[in-house]
Amino acid sequence: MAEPESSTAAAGGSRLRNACGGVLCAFTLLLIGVLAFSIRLFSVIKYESVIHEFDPYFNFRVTQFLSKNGIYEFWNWFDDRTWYPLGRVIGGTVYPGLTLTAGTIWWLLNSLNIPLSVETVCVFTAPIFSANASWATYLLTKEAKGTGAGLMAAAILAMVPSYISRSVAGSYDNEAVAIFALIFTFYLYVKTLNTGSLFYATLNALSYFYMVCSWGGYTFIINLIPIHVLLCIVTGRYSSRLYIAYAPLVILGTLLAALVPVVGFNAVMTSEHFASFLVFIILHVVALVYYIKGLLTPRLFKVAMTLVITVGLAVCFAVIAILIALVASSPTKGWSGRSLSLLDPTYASKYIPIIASVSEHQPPTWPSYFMDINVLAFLIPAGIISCFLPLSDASSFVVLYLVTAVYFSGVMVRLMLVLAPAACILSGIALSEAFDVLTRSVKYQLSKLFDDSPAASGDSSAESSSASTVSTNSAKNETRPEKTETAPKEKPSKKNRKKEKEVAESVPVKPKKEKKLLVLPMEASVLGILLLIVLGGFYVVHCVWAAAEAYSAPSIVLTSRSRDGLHVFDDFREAYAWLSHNTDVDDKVASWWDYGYQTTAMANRTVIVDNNTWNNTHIATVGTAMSSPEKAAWEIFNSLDVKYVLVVFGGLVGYPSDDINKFLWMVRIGGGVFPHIKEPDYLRDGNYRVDAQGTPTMLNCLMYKLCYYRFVETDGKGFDRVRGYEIGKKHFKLTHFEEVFTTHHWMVRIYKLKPQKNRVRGKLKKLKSGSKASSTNAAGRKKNPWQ
Amino acid sequence: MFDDQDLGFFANFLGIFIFVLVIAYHFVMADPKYEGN
Repeated sequence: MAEPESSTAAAGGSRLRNACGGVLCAFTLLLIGVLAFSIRLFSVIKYESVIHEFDPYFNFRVTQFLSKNGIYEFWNWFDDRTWYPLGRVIGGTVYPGLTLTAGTIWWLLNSLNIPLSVETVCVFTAPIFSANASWATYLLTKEAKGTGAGLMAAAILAMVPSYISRSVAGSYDNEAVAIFALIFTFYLYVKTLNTGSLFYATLNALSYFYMVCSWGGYTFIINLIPIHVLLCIVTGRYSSRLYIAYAPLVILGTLLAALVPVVGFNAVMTSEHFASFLVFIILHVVALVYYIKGLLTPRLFKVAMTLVITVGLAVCFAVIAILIALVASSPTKGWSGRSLSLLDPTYASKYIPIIASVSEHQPPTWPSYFMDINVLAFLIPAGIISCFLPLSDASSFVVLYLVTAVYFSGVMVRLMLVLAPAACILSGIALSEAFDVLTRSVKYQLSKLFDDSPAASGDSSAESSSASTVSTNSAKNETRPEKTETAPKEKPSKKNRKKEKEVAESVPVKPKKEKKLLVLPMEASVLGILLLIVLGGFYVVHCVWAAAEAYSAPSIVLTSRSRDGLHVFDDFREAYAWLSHNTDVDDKVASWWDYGYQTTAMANRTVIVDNNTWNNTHIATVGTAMSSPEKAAWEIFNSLDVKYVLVVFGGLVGYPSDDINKFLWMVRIGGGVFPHIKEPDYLRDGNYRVDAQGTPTMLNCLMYKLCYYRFVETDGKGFDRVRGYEIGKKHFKLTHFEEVFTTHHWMVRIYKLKPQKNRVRGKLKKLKSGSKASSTNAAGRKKNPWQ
Repeated sequence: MFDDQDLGFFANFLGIFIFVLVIAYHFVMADPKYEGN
């Protein structure tokens, strides 16, 4: 009679424990969501609720168009205000996921009579999706290593600086929703792998579709999952669940991806997707082999195998030869420039200056790893080890995800963002394993301390005696039933436990399964927990600091602190407001491509090039104009109907991201298309400088003149605070351009092209006769033929 | 008014509190009996 009572008490105890755990888990997840959202609000509180940087302005403009004109107009939108005179088909060249998401949120809120502006919705989209990404991380890690690890990983991801850098309030960019989509797609893949459910497989394809809609980084998914499938096949882990997880994703996912206009037939025609098809074929071959193996006798199977391998190899060679021929026949061997630069990190710097010129496409430095993932870098190895104990399909996927993400993050700093979730998941697993051991030890020691009843002491003595002789693996399976696939089968079988007890009674020691249970002394456990809390505390403090100080600046409003107090530099908006109020609606504004999106969004003026960078020749034309002498530049701009030229100059206030510092890229990109622009002409002994040592070509080019025109009037010396020296050419006049506006801190300067003078018949003769009378006058006129 | 320092304190507190909560979850779910037996 005592046994059923104790078993019901134990069942009641475990139910209570599970209930408490469930409540704690839900509460923690809620708080994680709150943290993920609130830690990203520094930008709004410190600055204002404003869209950040460059690309978000374009996304904002598209969302405004969508909310105003509806979805059909959006798909058909041809934007004639960019890339003049070419224009851009926005509906067919944009990843619409972010825009449609924010547009839907805005529409829903307005339907519920919550009248938020489109801008407000756009500003807060990224923090909302960060909370979603944290919850998705919880789900993914839970599938791989249990609820505890899931909670830890979600908490870490909610505040990881790498992700914060791309998802603060106002950072309305594709990555904000794409990281959520990425993690959620991985979760659904792993869930399908664990359950073999077609329902999850379909959801997985839909989630992949959302990812394709959101970000070009979807190619990471469609390459990583095939690699994992291949890994499973090679390591002999093929199962029907693997087939269900992969085959629907490829077929349905590719069909859905082809529906996105920007992807279209690329989903089946570019090499980024070929790996998935190849693995799809291999998977079917393997499935067929397993099927036939079940049908035939071993001997017959051997004969069949020989036949199939011979025929199969021949077919494979033929297919591979055709594929290679197809791929080789395309100009870039089927790979896009960005993908090639991922595989070969030196590719971009060699062949595509326009990709290499973007700072986020540069390889990261070691400090940036510490800045962006902090202590996670040291926890990851422990996470990898625990993923191998025991290795499941899900944990092998997580490890594979990390390995590939580490490689890609080493290629370009922007992809640290893809590494961050993997780092969080593995660190979460590592910390959770540590907490498991430590808390279990504390609980075990506590129960030993407080149990003094004879029965309990008998129990505890039995525990202590057998504590050192229990297989850790089986124990782990019981504590975390959801961790592995086999666990659910093992957990409910109380019979098994009874059997085990009986076996333990009859055969006290089983030498084969004996392993030391990881139970630590009380003091060591408590100290370990405290130390881990301190480590977590450091991580939290670093993350909050990064969110507050490093990643919250919207970059269109700058601040600096000095002894006088806070200085705000709002020059960009000042300049765009000037353009919007003082120029005609159809006027064309030329600037380096960085400022194209902002000009169209904030000033509503037509630009020549923008951040889309789809047409290298057009950008090279602007680069050439900026690198040319005034007259040649005027001719280029005039041929493009440009009325105003905008340059960003940081020499007065010490703003380093100005056009002078970007100028060499203009020269390189321009020189790539127009060979008369040569980089060495702008360098003195290989050094780029604009002081007295600067080359004449440099000191006479348009960019130098537009930036430093009248600069000497500010301090009398022409001292450039960014470069840290006095400029080379201080006193000069502009002949073909006139200054129309310079912002308060001289950060943005706007010039107007002087109109071409009418050719008056006989004027040449007059000029000639005038030159005889006064040579100095003529010289002056010759200098400035447009006046 | 809620300024950035308040938000900093709130985020720090919440972050560390979540860490503690996760440890509490592990403690609650830890089952030394199974380990012991």
